[in-house]
Amino acid sequence: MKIAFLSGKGGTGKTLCAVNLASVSLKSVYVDCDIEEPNGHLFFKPLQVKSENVEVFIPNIDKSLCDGCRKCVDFCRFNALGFVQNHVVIFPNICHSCGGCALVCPKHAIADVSKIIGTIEDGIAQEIRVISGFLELGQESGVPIIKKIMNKIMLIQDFVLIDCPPGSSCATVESIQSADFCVLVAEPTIFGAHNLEMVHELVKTLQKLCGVILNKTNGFYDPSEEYCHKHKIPIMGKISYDEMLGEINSEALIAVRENIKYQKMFEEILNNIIEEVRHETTIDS
Amino acid sequence: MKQLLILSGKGGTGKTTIAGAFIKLSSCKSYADCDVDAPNLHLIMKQNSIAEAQDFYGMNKYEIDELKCLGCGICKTLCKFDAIHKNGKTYQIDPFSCEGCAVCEYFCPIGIISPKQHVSGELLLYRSEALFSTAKIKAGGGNSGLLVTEVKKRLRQDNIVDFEIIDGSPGIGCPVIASMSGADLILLVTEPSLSGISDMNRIAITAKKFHVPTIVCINKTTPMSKNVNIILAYCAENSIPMVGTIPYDETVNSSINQGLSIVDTDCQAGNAVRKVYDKVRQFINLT
Amino acid sequence: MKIALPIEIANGKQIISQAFGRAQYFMFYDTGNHQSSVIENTAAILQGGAGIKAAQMVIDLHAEVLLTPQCGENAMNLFLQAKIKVMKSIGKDIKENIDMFLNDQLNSLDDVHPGFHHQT
Repeated sequence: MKIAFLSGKGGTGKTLCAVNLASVSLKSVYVDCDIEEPNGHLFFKPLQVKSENVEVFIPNIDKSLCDGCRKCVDFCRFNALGFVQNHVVIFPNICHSCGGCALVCPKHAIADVSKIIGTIEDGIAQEIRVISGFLELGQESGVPIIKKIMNKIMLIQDFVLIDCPPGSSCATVESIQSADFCVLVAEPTIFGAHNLEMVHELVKTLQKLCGVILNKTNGFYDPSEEYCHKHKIPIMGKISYDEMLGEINSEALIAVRENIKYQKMFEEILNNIIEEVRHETTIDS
Repeated sequence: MKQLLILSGKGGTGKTTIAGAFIKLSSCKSYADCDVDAPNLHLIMKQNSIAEAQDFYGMNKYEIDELKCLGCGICKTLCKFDAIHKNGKTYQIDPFSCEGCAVCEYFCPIGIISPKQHVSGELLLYRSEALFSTAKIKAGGGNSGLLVTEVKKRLRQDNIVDFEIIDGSPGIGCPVIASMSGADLILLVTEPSLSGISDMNRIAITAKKFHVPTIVCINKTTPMSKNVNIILAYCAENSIPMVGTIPYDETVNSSINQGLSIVDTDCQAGNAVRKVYDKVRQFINLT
Repeated sequence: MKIALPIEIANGKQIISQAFGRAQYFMFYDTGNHQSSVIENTAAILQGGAGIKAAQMVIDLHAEVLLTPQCGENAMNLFLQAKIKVMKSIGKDIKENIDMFLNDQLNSLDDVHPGFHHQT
């Protein structure tokens, strides 16, 4: 089963939930797709970490074959090629690796070379396999990193928890393609409800089953809870605002291992999620 | 004219709440929400007018005329983004995955793939007592740097003000870099958590590259926060001025939910924000 | 010699633009016949690579000098290869800057930023 954790924006508690739910499962795989700001590994501190580079192809021009026709420069939709002093200049940092320039060159003067855009780290923390994607600073698109991570986890049968990038960008879309269920984490403010609405629309467009965890609740009016009732989104759990929990989390400690009350709370949420997925899949079959 | 940009490496640090407070305190007549992935500023800066909306076009997406498609599959073979899929006997392009490279169009042997304008977002401009520019990128959209630039550009239309406040995007990517253009000062809002510190570091490096002076404030501190000292040490080591701390205040949520800014009510966070604001004004006068 | 400047129109007057890749226009001033021409910057509306395409235009139109408040590293890369002098302009007055350049009063643009890299 693959569960993706999303939120309209960062700081709502996506990682808190994904990390702690992974920790109360018997055996699980935690996957961090928030490649611009990956944080899960700070909690797990995985060992035996294997690191692999993620590469994309960028063009390389053979000057001896190039006759300066500029077809490649004119073709590139991303404007990643220039032409100066009779030779072509490549700008790898905006190249989208589409391969178009190499294909249109009448002299076959363009070949692919690879460029590293980030890394994937794969390690173990007790019973949990921790896979994290890191986008190199200055790189624009991390989608190829997420695609590679998704390939890695495709055949895993164990319980997989995917910590997604915040928002509803293409990186988030890529992260949830293989999810069986999406958990939307929301805060009890009008910001939270607004962001919940955005990310709910995304999962509906992609026809994904979903449920909500309400985080940092305080017993007062909760616009996010109201949104859930209005749109009949099942609530998987409510986590009260708790200074101690906040402090534990800010120290990058795993709450369920620090205090039994958090262990019980997340166990209950986990059961609710499993129940909900089973229930929904039974209805569909 | 001075432009203040408010950033946070990590989401959820309270950047928008603070931006809203600053706008109120300064009676700012020109402000923008550049967090185009998840714009929130309009929720606390209630507007009296309806926004002027304008479609924002991203890269063209490409479309196969399925009625004419012969099913040769050359387009699918050449597509590096896995955006083309078989649909019965013909092929179809998935607009979510299409990056608009035009390779399929170029190589279709019967020329039945064509560009389609793709609305990837919407720009909104409010004109009432102030000019407020914001936008929203559609779900599945890519990096939104150009949209951020457009949001900022719209502030300049007919406006001569002395102070602009920009609520920036979280993260460190291209939208953040786009929001830095033209900024005179960056206020980096961080929180006392290890993830907050890690993210603050990434953004401080990015800000340095752009030669925009940066100052820091720490939001949502609690008496238990040990990480405040780590942040202070980091700032000292990197010569980044620290202009104040704002305590976690449980009344903030209810103010926000009522559409009030934290400086509209008498609360701990609001009082602390006023002090931070005064310090920020001093810094901006020096730029 | 041909001098290029990124320009915009504000309050009906032509001034030096603070943007390079997305400047509204480029002016090309010929020091020989003191003529100037203003060309629309077609790179301004591009999704990405505006700095590169704007630089390409400056190069293709045979400018030898560029006066600008800033430009990105990609554009600067092209200018270095094309051996075009890039000088840091001061303020917004076009004529003033051209005169300052001809009197050796401008410095070369040394601090180049990583660029805005706008994409979809």
